[in-house]
Amino acid sequence: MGYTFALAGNQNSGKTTLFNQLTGANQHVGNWPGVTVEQKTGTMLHHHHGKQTHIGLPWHVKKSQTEGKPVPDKYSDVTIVDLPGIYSLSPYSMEEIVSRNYIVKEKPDVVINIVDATNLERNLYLTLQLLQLGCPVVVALNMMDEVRGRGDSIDLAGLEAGLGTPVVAICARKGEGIDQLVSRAMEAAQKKLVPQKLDICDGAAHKALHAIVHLVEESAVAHGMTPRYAATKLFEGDDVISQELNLSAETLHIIEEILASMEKEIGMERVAVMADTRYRFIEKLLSTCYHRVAPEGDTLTDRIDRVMTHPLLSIPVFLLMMLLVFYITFGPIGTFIADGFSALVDGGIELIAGALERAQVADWVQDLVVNGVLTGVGSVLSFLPVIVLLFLLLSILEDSGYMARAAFLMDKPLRKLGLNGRSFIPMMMGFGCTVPAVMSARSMNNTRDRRFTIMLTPFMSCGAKVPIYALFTAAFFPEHKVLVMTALYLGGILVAILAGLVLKKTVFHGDAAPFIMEMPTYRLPTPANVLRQMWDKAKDFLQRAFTVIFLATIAVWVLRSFNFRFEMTDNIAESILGKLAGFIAPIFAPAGFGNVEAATAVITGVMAKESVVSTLAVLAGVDMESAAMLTAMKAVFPTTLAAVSFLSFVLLYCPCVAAVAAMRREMESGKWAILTVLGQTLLAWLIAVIIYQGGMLLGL
Amino acid sequence: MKLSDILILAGLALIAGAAIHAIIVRKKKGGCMGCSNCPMAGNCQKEKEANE
Repeated sequence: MGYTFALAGNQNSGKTTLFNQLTGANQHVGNWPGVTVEQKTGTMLHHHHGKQTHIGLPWHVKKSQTEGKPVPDKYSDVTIVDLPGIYSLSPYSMEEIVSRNYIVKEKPDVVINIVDATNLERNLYLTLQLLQLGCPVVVALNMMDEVRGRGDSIDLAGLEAGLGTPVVAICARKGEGIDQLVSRAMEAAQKKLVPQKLDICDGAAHKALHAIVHLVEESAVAHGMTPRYAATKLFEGDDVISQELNLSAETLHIIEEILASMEKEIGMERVAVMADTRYRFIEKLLSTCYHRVAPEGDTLTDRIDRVMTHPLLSIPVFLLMMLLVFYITFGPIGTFIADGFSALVDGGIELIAGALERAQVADWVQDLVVNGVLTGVGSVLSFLPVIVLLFLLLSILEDSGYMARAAFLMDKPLRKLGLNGRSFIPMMMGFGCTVPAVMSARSMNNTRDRRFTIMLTPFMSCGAKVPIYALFTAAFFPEHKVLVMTALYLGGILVAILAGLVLKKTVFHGDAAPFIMEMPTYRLPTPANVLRQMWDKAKDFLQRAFTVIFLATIAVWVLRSFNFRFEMTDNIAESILGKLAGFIAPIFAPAGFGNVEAATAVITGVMAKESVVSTLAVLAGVDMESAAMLTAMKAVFPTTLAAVSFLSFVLLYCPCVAAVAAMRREMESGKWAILTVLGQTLLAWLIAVIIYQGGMLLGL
Repeated sequence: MKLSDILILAGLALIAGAAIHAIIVRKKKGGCMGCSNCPMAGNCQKEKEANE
């Protein structure tokens, strides 16, 4: 006889650890039907005295099964279903809807509710809701080793009596208590031990709830729900349950009257009344069952958060942090390191150029190697220290736990755009690289929020654009590097905000899903983690330099050096590149950079943004770190206004092909990806034209 | 063309070939860059497909 156990609990309560303990390698991962929420099922290993003695059924039992004999109960085949991590059974997120629909409609034999014993107050909120569903529930108090480590203790018998359902202490990580948990769960399944009815309400709320129970009893039972669960959901204003029950207009009106009267009497909204009722019950229960040794007080994290999440101070602190990061990266320290590295790269190029000349290599081969490959790749490589320094600082911020606070801070402003704080994480990652940023949006289960976030993420200046910004600031704004860099990053964010507001009114109507996130405790960044993330970024940068940029550099050199008759030419206008780019360049004339070099740089930038720098270097025929660079850049961009216009175009136009491919995959639609790319490019062109033409009108 | 020219061009062709191979391999991995702090750790579609 097979049973089904469902695992339910908050995120980070140890659910997955318990699931792995119970099922071992017998797991299957898929999706819940019709949604993008992950579904994990597995077959339970047989536990005997805490040790796993069999995988699946023992051979002699399997043999008897094939002979048609029944399987003894102690070897029962049990399926474990791992439900998504949730904090309540509200209808606001797909995970919650999936979990409660599964328990109500599929009716597993037992729900094992994993509760983090170090955080009972929050975890028991879900427990109280699970107890109403009419399924046998066994509460697994996990992380008991941490509770004992603090010197605290929990009265399990008292908790069991208070909740009216079995409670078992476990430590999933160490495999402690699993055997007992399985035994209690099997007993609950075999004897169908439904939790005792818990009356947690009092006063006006109690009267209102019971009145609703009587009104909806028949309808609830007819739809497979317990009357108390249905009544509680209607009490909370759950539209989904209201529609499922198919109540008459008259019944709905009476329920509304009951709740309005209760709200008036208590002076609180109905949702707040229910939440308050639950938490008061939990507080009362824990006051008798949880024995704390150490007095509760402010931790260091709490004290730091008083500033970092202060209603008035938090945003200025965040902006100050970002300014500090940019100052260190692009200011005196960053410039010193970058100049030193450039000198090394230049020295290397000179050595190779000298060696080729002494070896009397053919002029055109020398030109290809020195002015093509080495100049192109070298000009990008020289920005490696800047990239590494930027990522060192961002990794430190992330590893310290601050970025989680930043996401929390951004929730309110992002809601004005129709997004929530969860969108901040991909956007922050977008400052590194758009590809993993777009991929991390996958954690957003709401399709609307995910697509919206992905559309705005490329506006965050990725690390690949840093060489472009650094080049232009050195050429045109040498005295104001930090200011210009900061303005560029903030400019991208500003355009994202404006684009978000437009998209909210047009394509993405409605509000974002609610946002709940665990705040990790602050900790000193571990050197290993920080250095590993820095190395990841440096490795990626070097890989791109020696793959995409290397190939782009050769392609540009070939197209620039040969005409359509495959004869070498010095005249760029006569070259293949000149002829091809000549068709595209006029498009950029209104924006002030309608020349072959700029047009080519923009096109190669689609392959990899760093290619903009290498392309300009190859076409100008100079090393971008040399003094001749200034003259070369001014030849391509005669005025500072043209340079600003080009910078704004590069800031905003479509991301690289790798990012576009990631967008297509995560949006699950080529149409959306193409629309995003076209929209961004058109917006970039419009803004560049406005800047240039507006500047010309103002006489700049 | 001299031998030195040919060797240099052959070297560049080799590096170009390796670069193209690397790009194709990364494309087959779905753009996976093997980040140590992978945002998709535990929920990677590619891993799932490999395991199925």
